[in-house]
Amino acid sequence: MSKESDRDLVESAKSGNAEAFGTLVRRYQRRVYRLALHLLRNAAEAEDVTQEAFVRAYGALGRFDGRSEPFTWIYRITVNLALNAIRSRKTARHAGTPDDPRIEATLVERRPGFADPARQTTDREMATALCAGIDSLSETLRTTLTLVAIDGMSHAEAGEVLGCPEGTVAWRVHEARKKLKEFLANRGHMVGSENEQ
Amino acid sequence: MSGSKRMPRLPKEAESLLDRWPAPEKGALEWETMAAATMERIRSGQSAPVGMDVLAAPLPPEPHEEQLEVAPLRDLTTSLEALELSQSVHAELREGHEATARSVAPHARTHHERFRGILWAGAIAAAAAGLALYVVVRSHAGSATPASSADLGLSPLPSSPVVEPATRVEVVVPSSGQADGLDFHVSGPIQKNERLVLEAQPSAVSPVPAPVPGKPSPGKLQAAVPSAPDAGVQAGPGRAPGTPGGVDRTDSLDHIPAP
Repeated sequence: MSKESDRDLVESAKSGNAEAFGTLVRRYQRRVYRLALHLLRNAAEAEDVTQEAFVRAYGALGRFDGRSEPFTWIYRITVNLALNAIRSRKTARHAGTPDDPRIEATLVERRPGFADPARQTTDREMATALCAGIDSLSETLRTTLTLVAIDGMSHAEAGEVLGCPEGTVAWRVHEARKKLKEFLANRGHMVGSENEQ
Repeated sequence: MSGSKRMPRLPKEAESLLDRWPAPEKGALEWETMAAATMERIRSGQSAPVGMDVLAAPLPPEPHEEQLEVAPLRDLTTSLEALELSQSVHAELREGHEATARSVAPHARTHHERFRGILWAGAIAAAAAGLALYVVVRSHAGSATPASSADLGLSPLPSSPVVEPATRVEVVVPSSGQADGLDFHVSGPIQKNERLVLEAQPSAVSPVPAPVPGKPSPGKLQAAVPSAPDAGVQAGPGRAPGTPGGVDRTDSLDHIPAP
């Protein structure tokens, strides 16, 4: 049985086949959740936003004109919902808190040598510093960096999600990495031979 | 995506994390439960109206982002890199100018000194020509006695030697003379703004022997206007070549190469 394309599933869903849209949900909910988690830094909020994104996408299927890929369209809805959630928060969430789900995710990964306590400490320090650095970026740079560097989207795909040219995405990623490098250097994490403690 | 050569590099561990940030840990059952909950909401029609705020491009542009897209060159000129580039170029140009000036200066001095010498010689020639003209006019009037320039008391020329005859002047120098230690011989008409070709040599022996009428001494200082169509010396009426106040066509300097 051949795998149906995203566009086929969307067309099928438009014609009333909700199960076709269910396939899309199962196909992309992990990525959407991870994106929401990195933007929101809260697991419960990320789950809510993930679910809401698919529900809204289904409700707006009639307005999907097919000029972009369905998953980039769903990503755009996710980003908007996550940013709305962040803006509607009563208090700002501080980076690097012990319950930061991004850091926890790095600590449960099974990698060779991961059981080494010294290595775990180093990884945690780096993950904490990196998360703090990402959170110090502007909303625009942080979101663009998350899409490209963490989610692995191409500049063209990220451009579709964010509604800007590829060049702008590249510039934003460059700026984000530059600021991140400075942030990490100020915390003693230099590149290569600059320290390599 | 994070490994582009032109992108600023982060520490190795940070690059590794960015490249493959671990996915959140959820079991298959959890994911399925989550998907089922989503589909339940869809089937039950529990959906808020979808406004354009959810479908529109989500983020505002960063500062300077617009200039980057619309006019990258203008943005470049305002960037720090462009400023450094500009300063570097100016420094290079400045150095180039100084180097050029250093290399050209000795030649310029040489040419300047040579040119001053030529001007001096030209001025001497012009003065001699004026005197000769005076003599010609006097002799036409029948009251002048041919005389050499030395006899007329040719003196050193002013310090600002500018050869600028207002009109065409025909010069007839009956003989050579001496001025400021230089033998001279002048021939040819001089016109305003025409190129004056001169050659001067200091007198080997002083005093210079008196010129012999009709047999000019070897020209030490000669002037000519090669470009003039009528270059040479026109004879005054009733005067034969070689006679005082007359014409000596051997004085033509057409054979003297230009400097």
